Amino acid sequence: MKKSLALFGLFLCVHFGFAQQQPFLRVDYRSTMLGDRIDILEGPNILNKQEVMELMRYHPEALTRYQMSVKKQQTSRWLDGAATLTTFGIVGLSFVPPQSSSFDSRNTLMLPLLISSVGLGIVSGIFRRSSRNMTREAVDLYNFSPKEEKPSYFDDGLTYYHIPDFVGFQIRF
Amino acid sequence: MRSIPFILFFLSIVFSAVSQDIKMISYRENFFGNRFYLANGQKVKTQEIEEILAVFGDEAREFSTAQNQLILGQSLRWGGIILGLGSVAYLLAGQIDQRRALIAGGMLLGSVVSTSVGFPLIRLSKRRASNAIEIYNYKKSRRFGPAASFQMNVSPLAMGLSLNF
Repeated sequence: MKKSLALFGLFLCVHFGFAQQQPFLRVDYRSTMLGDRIDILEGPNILNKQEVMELMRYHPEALTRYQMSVKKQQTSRWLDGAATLTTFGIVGLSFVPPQSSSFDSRNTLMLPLLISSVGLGIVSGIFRRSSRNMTREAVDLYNFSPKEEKPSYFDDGLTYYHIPDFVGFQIRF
Repeated sequence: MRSIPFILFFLSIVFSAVSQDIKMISYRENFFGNRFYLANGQKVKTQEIEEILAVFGDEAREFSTAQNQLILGQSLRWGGIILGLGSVAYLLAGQIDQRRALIAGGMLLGSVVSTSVGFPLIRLSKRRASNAIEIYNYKKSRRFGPAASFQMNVSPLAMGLSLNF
C-alpha cells in the first residue's frame, strides 16, 4: 500500500504538467472590396492556408470541406470581380451623351450589362455564403471530432492538469 | 484493496448515466444570409440556444445582447428600406412641387441614415453572437464549468480513467 502510494506521488511529481491538447479553431469573416475574407484563428493568431491544412491533416473529412470552401471562395471572388467590372461598365455607359454617335450601341449594351451585373452579384453571394458555411462545417468537424490520442498509453501514467476553472487528474492503466 | 477497481468501474457507469451530454453549438447561414443555429447538428430555435448557453453566465449575457442588437439592427434596416420606398412613392404620388420634394428628400435622408446605422449593427451583433458561441464551445470542449465527470475509457491497448472535478 505504502509502495503504491509512493509510486503515485512519484508519478504526480514526474507528470506534473499540462495535458497536450488539440488547438481550438475559430472563424472570423471580414468583408473586403472583392468578396469576403474568411480567417481561421487559433487563439489570437490568424492561420494561413498551409497551417490550416497541416492541422487538418488527420481529419480528412474536415480537410476536404476546407479545400472545397477555399475553391468556392476563389470562385466568388472572381464573380465579384466580374460584377464590379460590369457595374463600372454601366456607370461608364450612362455618361454617354444622347448626341454621341455611339448612343445606339449604348442602348443595346445597357440591358445585358444590367442583367449580368445583377445576376453575377446574386451568384457570387450564393458562393460566398456557401463557402462560409463550408468553412464553418470544416472547423466544426475539426473542433468537435473525437480527439486523437497518442498511442503511448503506458508512457503517460498519470497526468495532472490545471487550467482556469478546472483541475483534473488522469490516470491511465 | 482489490475491490477498488471494481468500485471505480461502477462509479464510472453511474456517472456516465447521470452526466448530461455536451451540446456543441454551431450555426449556418440560409439563402438570405440569416443565421440558424445548430446544437449537436440539430436545428434549434434561438431561444433554446440561450437556454443552453445559460451554463456560462457571461456568454449567455453576451449572446442575448447580441440578439437584441440584431433585432434593433434589422428593424432599423427594414425601417430604412420602407422609408426609402415611401419617399419615392410620396414623390410620385402627385404634382411635384417644392414642399413635396423637400418632404420626400427628408424621408430619403432618414432612410439612408437608418440603413447605414442598421447594417453595421447587424454585422456587430453577428460577430458578438459567434464569439459567445465559440467561447462556450471552447469551454465545453475543455470541460470547464461546474460539472464533474468520471470517465472510464477502454481501448485495445489500455484502459484509462479520468476524473475531472
